Amino acid sequence: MDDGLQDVPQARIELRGISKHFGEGSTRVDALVDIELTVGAGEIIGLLGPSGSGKSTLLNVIGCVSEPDAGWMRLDGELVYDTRWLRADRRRLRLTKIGFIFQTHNLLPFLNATENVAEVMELAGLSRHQARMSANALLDYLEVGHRRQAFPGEMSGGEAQRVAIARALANNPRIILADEPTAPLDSARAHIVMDLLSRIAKDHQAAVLVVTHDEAIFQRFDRLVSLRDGRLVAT
Amino acid sequence: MQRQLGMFMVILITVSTVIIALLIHTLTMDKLRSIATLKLVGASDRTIIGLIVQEALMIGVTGFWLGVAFTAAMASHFPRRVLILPRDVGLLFGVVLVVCLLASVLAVRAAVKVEPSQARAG
Repeated sequence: MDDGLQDVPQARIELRGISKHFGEGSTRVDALVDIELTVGAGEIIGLLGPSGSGKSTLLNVIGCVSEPDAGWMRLDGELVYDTRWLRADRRRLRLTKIGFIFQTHNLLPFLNATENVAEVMELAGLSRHQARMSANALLDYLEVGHRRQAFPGEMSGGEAQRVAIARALANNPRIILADEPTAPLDSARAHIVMDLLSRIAKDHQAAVLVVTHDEAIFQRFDRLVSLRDGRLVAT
Repeated sequence: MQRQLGMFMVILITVSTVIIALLIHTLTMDKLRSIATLKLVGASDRTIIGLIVQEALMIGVTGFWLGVAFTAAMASHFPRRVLILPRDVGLLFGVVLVVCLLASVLAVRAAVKVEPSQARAG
C-alpha cells in the first residue's frame, strides 16, 4: 500500500491530516479526509481515483485555490495552512511557486504562444522584453519555438499543450499540478507530454502531481496515489 | 435651439453609456474562463480591472475619433450646420472617457466575482 506519506528529502508538497468538506448536516460531503501526502523535489506522482473521489478538491487545495478545514500544508518549505491560520499571500504562491496544466490547454485565445507564456512572467514583475525573450527560450526548450507567433486556435492539440506546459514553467515553479494533461491527446503525444513532465521534474527539481485516468502512462510515474471517497487508499 | 441641442446631447450620451456598458459587459462575460485562468496563475484583481478599463477606454477613444472624422467628412453635405469649437471637442472627449469608466463598472463587478477555480471547470 502507498498512503502517499513518505520521508522525502527536499519535500515540495507536504500535507498532514488535510480535510475538507462541503455543506452541513444532511447535505455534508467530506471531499477530503485526513490526507497525508508528501511529494519531493524531482518526483512525478500520478493521482488516480474515480470521478467525485476528491481529486479536483485536492488539486484546488494544493493549488491554493481552495482552503482546507483541518490539518496543515506546506509548499516548498512555506507553511500555507495550519488549522486556524491561512497564509494571506496565496496569490503570490500561485504565481511564483506553482505551475498549472489543464486538460484543455486554457491558453488565452487572443494572445499568441509567446505572449501566453510571457504574460505570466510579466505578472511576476519581468519587463515585457525580458519576458518575451525568456518565453521564447522556454518554447524552444519544449520544441515548439517554431510556433511562437501562432494563436491557440491555429495550433494542434499537442502544440497547444506544450505551450501550456511552457506557461506552467514560466516562473520556474517548484510545484507543477497537471489535471489530466494527456486526456485530449493520442497515445504517442501523451507519451511526449509525459516525457516533458519527467524531464521538467528532473531538470527543475520540481514536484509534479498529475491527475490521470490514462492507464497507458501509469508506468511513467515514480509513484501512484489513489483517492476514493476523499481518502488516500492502496494503489 | 441651444437647449434642444443640449437635451439631444444628454440623451445621446446616456444611450451611448448604456450601449458601451452592455458591449464591455458582453465582451467580459465571453472571457470569464480566461479571467479565471489569469487569476489562477496569479493575476490580481487590480490587473484584471486594468485590462477591462483599458478595453473600455480603447473602444471609447476609437469611437470618439471615428465620430469626429465622420462628422468632419459629412458636415458639408448638410444645409444647416452647428459650429463645434475645439473647446467643445475637448469637453466631449473628457465626457467620453468618463462615460467609458462608468460603463466598465458592470463588467468589473462581474470579473472580480470570478473564482480562480473556474479555470479548471470543464
